[in-house]
Amino acid sequence: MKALRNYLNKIKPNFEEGGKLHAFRSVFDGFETFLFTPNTTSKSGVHIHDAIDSKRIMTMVVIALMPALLFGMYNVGYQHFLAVGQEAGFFEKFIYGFLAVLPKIIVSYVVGLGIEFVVAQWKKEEIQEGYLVTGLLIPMIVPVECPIWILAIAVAFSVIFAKEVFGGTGMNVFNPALIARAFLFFAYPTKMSGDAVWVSTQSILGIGGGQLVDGYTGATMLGQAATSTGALELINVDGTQASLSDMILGFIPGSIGETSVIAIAIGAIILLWSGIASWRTMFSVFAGGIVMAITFNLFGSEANVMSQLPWFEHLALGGFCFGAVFMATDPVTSARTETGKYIYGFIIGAMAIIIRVLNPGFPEGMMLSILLMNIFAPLIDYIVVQKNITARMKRANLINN
Amino acid sequence: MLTDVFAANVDESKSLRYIDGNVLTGRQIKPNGYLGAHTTSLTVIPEGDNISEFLGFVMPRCNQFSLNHSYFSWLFPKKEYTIDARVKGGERHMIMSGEYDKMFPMDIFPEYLIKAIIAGDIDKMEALGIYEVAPEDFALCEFVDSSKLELQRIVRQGLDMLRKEMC
Repeated sequence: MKALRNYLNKIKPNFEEGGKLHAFRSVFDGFETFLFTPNTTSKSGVHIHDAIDSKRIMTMVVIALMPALLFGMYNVGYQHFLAVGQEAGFFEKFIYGFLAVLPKIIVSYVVGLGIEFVVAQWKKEEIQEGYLVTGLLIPMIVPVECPIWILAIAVAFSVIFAKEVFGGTGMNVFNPALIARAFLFFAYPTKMSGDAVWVSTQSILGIGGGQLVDGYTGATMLGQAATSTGALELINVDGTQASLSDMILGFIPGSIGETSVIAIAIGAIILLWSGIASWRTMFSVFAGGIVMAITFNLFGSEANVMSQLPWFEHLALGGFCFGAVFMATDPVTSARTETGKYIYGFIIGAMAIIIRVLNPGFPEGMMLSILLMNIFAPLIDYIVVQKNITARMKRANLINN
Repeated sequence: MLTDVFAANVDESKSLRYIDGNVLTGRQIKPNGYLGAHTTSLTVIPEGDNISEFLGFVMPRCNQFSLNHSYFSWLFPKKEYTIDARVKGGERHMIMSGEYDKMFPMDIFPEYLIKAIIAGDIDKMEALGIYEVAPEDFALCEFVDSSKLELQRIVRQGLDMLRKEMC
């Protein structure tokens, strides 16, 4: 490690002002701080600092995403071999899913980080590490059949128009990963919704492939519920009935990372224990979802199949858990006051179920409800802070009189 | 002479930081410098500017103290740490929320107060309670801040701004 450090010290002058490689300063700086924790010492204020920094925080989120990502890869393979009706071992399924998902992750990071590097160089700032998380989230919330070139456009759009125009990580109004998904959803609806995108049916590098089984359906459970007219029957891709354990373990079609409640729960525990995600937001999203689902169960119309879906199925299906754990808790775009987080989370959960049940055009409402509440988060904070200000004014007037 | 006080008490082979006061609110002095009239303590900590940790953000780093559970200091509550003067991260925009609130005892929204000061909005500063705080109140917030902002300096600036406004 010492040799590497010495080498970096040796080439550093080239990247400083006046050096011949100054145009790549941000790239060098990014790699240097990535490899070695900066050893700048405090200049003013406190002389000692906590070891936490934003790189560590982002790394913890990436670690928390790993169970859902690895399970997502396995599930892509599992769904594929179910669809073609072939027996396959654990590793064959995993490798198939790995090969299907890896290009998306690479494209997302290359395009997104490329733009980040250019912007950092242009603004003469350090590279901000927020994209490390966003870049992993984006491939996890798209269907497996989403083409890579479309993904690249969505990533570029969201990094530029959802993040950099506002001033970079920490200044954005909307969650960049969800903006990328919303962009895909509205610009390329055929690649993002419907029955043909959720299960990969082609062979990849000679693995898998074959004739689809009889009774094959590629629709997600929520898609089935939204279009169902009679009694609700949720079926797997091979036409067999889906059990509740399938939904909770995650052996159902859906976006890559969103299917398994168990894998997401492991991530949630990591985030909550390390204090990186707010338990207030997470708890109130679930509370909002449960309250609203029960309300629809009690008062919803019999004809609307979606309103009769029990609350635990609402929570287990689609992106509800993934959104609640990884999206709603994004500290930058959520409400920042502690009281505000309860209100913010509750409305997200409730709104997601309302969109699912009452809007037949959108079987999944989590993305839209989080984006909607991103807009309202500053307003919620404003009300909470204003209450504090009013109380202070009252106190001051009391003392003055 | 302060050098006499430090002689034989500190490890001269390391690069050290001499502080008049404590590590949170003290003022850096030279080893042969002078003390303020109200000084009651002297602190010496390692500077740490020669340490470069490889991949520090992903390593377990059991020898680093942090109040955040993403480090393992919560496992060893009685362990003693040598904390040096490194900032241990780059300055960022405010990303995490609620970090300051945990360290701040008063009924004030520290984050919003800091933002009002940065924006130079005097009415807002007064409304959010800047008259109730001193820069020292933000020392612990500055210690835990993952965005590594210089909060005490910002609050000092805000108070100076108000003072200028009133003269």
